[in-house]
Amino acid sequence: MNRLFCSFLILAVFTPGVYAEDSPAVKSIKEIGGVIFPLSNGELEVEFHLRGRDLMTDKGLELLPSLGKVVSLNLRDTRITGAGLVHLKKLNGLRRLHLERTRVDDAGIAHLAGLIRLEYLNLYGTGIGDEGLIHLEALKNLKQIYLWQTKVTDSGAKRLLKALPDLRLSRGVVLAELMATNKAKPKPEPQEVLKWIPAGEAKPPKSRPGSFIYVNFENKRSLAVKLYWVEYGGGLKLYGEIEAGATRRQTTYSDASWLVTDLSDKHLGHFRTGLKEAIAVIP
Amino acid sequence: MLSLQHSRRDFLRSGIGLAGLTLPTFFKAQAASGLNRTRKAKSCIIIYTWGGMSHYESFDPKPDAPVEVRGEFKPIGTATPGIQFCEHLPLLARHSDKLAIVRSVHHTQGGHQQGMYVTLTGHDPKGGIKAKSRQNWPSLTSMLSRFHNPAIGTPAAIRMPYSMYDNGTQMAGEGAGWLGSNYDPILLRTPSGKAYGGVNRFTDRELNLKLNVQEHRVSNRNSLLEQMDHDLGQRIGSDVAYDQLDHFRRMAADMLIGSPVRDAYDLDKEDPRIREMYGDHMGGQTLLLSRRLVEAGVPVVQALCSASDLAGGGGDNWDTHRGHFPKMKDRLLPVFDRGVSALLTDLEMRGMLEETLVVFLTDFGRTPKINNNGGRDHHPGVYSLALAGGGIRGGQVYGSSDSKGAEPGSYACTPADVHATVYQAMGIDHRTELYDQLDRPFQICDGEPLPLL
Repeated sequence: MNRLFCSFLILAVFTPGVYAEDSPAVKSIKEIGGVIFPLSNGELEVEFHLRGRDLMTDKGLELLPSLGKVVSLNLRDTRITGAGLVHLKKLNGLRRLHLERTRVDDAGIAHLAGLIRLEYLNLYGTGIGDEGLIHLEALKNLKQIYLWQTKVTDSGAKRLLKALPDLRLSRGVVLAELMATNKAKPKPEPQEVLKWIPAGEAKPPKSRPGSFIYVNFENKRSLAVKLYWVEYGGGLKLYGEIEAGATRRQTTYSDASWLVTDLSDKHLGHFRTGLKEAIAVIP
Repeated sequence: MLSLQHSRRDFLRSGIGLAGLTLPTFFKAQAASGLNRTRKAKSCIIIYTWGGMSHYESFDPKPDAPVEVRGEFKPIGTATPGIQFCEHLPLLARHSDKLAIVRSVHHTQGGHQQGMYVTLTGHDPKGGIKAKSRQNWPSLTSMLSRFHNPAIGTPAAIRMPYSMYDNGTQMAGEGAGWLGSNYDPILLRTPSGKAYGGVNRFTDRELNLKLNVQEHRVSNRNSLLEQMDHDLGQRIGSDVAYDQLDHFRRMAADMLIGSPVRDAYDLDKEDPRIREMYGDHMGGQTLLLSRRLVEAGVPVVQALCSASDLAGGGGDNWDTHRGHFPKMKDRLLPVFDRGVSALLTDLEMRGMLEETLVVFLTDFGRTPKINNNGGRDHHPGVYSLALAGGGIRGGQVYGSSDSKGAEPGSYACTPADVHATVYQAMGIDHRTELYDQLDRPFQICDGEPLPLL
């Protein structure tokens, strides 16, 4: 008699709430890779993300409402789509929902609008955009949402945060930007400063063929200047004007002469380039 | 995660027959299975810096100490006002909001073997200890795995990329000890990344499952089994060989049949930009692999962030008796900083950090005094550890060291207390009793949880 009572007791303890280990629904869920963890208060955590990747589909979602009080559901990497989320409508005790890396979409998210107990929602790696987030604005208990690698934009995120000010919204890193910042920036080589030779001191010599370099002209004068290249034959070729205080990055060759005049072509002075990129300050 | 089946087995093992069962004993038996469903952490990544990471040049800089104590580096601010790290952890400093730093850990073991043993097992070594002995206490890694029952083909615990050695001797404390070989963490080699400089040993071949065999060879899945048969065949006769043969043979076969673990091991399936984020070094790639394994359902992963053998302080390990500052700055901290920062970023943006406890462990700290070789020596008197994720409240410091970083200044705690904290985060009662192979009861942990959750 005692023994019978104990067996009954064990049965009672191991079957909390409506969850029964050998019910047809449980059996079917296990067949499609589901793992069910009953909590001590009768609530259930259900996972498909490890064993149900290829087996869990929208059809499998139909089975969930008959299980009982599911509070945590992990559908990561499974084959469900947005349309299947309609079956989650009845899981109104749901607090944690993993939908990351599935084919759920904005239209499907509308089915989550009534899951008011939801605290955690993972949508990273899905096709969700700003439209989908609008359906979540009434989920006042939502504390965390993951949106890395989705189509959600700044304005969509901002709008959701306005509706749910206490929400922690994680959008992760932008990998392209990360790559850019991780790349060691090439050290700028210390630049030579070219010597300014005023007009009275010497005439600019002819340029000679050399190797390709840059020269960065800086006009420190209060008026604009004109920039001429002194040709191989000694002629002058106008390259442009540099406004007062402006700079100009000029391609040129080593052993070249650059004549600077004012706007009325009065010679002010010249520079002679060296072998390396250099700064040429027009005083 | 523990299955219903598992707790039943424990229940029966606990020796309470049905006839004598009363309600209190029943619930006690349930409690003895060590399961607490309210936990947040479902898996754990243990990051071990072998050799003894200096607390000064990591989580506990002492800018106000005399120059002979504070060393060459400056502190930097972190994302948390009031918390400073060493200037050579600039990336990790941005994650301080996720980290709970414990600055008052101490113990009394000044040698590497002993320090590592107490750090990883939570118990002082008694007498001479030997690697692979079944008398040893189980490592935290294997003890945590004891409370999980992952899917077929998924090991309960994995460690990478090497075992710890000191001058050619394998260290005790990384195995399952009296829990038995079923709980020995599987040793995996990280398949890519620039290797740690120094001496790296791969002699644990019976545990070292090489998953990077070609796809066509997997189809007949014989190469690995043959390899293991060969290795183990030479050991038949020792008392554990048959036991291990069976366990690892089964494990190898299961892992090879298209399991998520095998997929996780293939780093070529990872986004190259994510790989880049972790850094092209074995340290970073090991941490990336840790995340992938946890994602694939492995409950406990231990990542060694160091060369395998201390080799008298040579090589890329944290035993910095000589040339401490250049080695920390150029070899050790950059790899560590980039790798662990990437791990925290990666776990966070995937929504995994909350369920994944990350624990930083090391043998001990380093001496306040800088020696004549420009190094710091062993110092178990006080040092720093850190925890993140798994429900740990970030942006906090527990305890402090004194002004010179020589002794605990407040809230002194031990490695066992850190273990108790880990058990609590993982939903395991740290007072759970387990039985060794001679049916002697042991309480899994002697410490008390720190209030970090």
